[in-house]
Amino acid sequence: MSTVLSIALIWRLALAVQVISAVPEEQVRLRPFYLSSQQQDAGSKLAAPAAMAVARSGSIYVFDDGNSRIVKLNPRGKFIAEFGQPGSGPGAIDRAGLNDSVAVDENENVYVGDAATPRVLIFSSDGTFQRSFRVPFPMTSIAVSRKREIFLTPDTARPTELIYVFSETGKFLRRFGERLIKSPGSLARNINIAVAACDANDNVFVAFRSWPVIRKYSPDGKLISDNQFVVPSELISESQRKNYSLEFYAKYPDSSFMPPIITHSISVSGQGSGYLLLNAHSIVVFAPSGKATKQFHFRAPRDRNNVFIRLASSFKSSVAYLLDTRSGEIYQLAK
Amino acid sequence: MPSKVISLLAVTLFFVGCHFSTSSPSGEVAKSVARIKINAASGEKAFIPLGSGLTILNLFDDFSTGCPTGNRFETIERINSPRPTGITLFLIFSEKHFSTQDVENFKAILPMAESMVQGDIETVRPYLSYGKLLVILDSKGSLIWQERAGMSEEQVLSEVSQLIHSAGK
Repeated sequence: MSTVLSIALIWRLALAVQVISAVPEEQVRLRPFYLSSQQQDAGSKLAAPAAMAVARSGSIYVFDDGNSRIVKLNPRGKFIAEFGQPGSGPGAIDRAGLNDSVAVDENENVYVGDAATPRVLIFSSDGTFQRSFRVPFPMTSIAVSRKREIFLTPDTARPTELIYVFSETGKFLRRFGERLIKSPGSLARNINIAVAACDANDNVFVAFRSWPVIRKYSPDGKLISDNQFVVPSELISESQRKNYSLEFYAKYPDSSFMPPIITHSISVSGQGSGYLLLNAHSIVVFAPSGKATKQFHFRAPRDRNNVFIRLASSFKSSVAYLLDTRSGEIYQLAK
Repeated sequence: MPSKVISLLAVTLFFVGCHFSTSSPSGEVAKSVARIKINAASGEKAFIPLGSGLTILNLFDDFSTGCPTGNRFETIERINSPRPTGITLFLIFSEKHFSTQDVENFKAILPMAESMVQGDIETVRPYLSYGKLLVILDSKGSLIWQERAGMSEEQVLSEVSQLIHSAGK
């Protein structure tokens, strides 16, 4: 019995102490896919785009936050449609902020998480508004499964679960996922902010915005795996390392917080492997088990002037796309 | 010239009134609150059933995370945890902007499910601030406190808690 307890204790400690190590820089080819500045038509320019999702057809849907609309690009990066509009009334979109607020299902229905109002809006691929429903919290990400269940990660100080699941008609179904820190408080709130993505089997991958863990849950919420990844040593100062622990955050849930890592987005390919985009210029590749297999920094075309906040992988191919919110540029990430 | 000034004043009042009109006389607010009808479990419309002590009403026409005054749900949870004795609480969601399913979802997700109802709050629309209004009625239905425009959630919590405390003495 004591052996079991010891193993459990060591396991908890291992989870609480993150691995900090140097991460290599890797040359990856970023092929321009959609450059907002080069669009002739003013209506095709993006303004602070916040999120993007790749449909099975290869079409890409972008939450163009500054224009309160969804932009549809064809697989060759051509602007083909826009829908949603600012204001009020059916189909009106407010703001996503910097949240990962768009998802696409198998039939190419588009799900938009409007974090400001907060609501989920559902459109068909041609932009026809279908319906919306309200949620009692802003969400940091939205994902949709093959069964068209909608998974939201709430941004709330309430000590609640990580994932809320709704049916496609907007009925609340279930919630699951244990928070990293259970105490209330502003720091605990920040630490527990998560982003989610679904794989082809409807499993749900969850990454925390400021803590180096990837969790994999079954569709009904059973924890399948919990994997740490390396925190790049250049992102965390010596003084930060001492206090970068869940124990410290649980003890001081209202202390000020400058996270060394920011996980902007999580994306899972059709093959089940996935990507995390960290700190605008780092990528973690993970296996279908959720275990990190590779981690690297990449050089952007315009170096640090590019602020990448979203990485979305294609369901059919190994192609992934990177979205720069500052310039409204989208690049293809070639292997 | 005077007609221009009056027109300008009227336009200004109209726009200000859209957002910050809780400064209207409380008598008008009281009359408007008295005309609110909630959707009873039977499916019929009903006036708000008053409690034997204070009745706290929070009216939601909208809620926005961009609201600068903070999170009203969290304030009400704090007022209600634990529910003070002799206090009746209703969270009334406008049937115009919240569907029956929305309210059922809130009941399943949030605490205070028993206090949540859908209703017709159109009569108080002019007095809402950022899509919401909190008022307190006594056992006779008289308005004894109302949220003022621009109050922070801390102020709302503080003043409502004091009233509840005084009523409990």
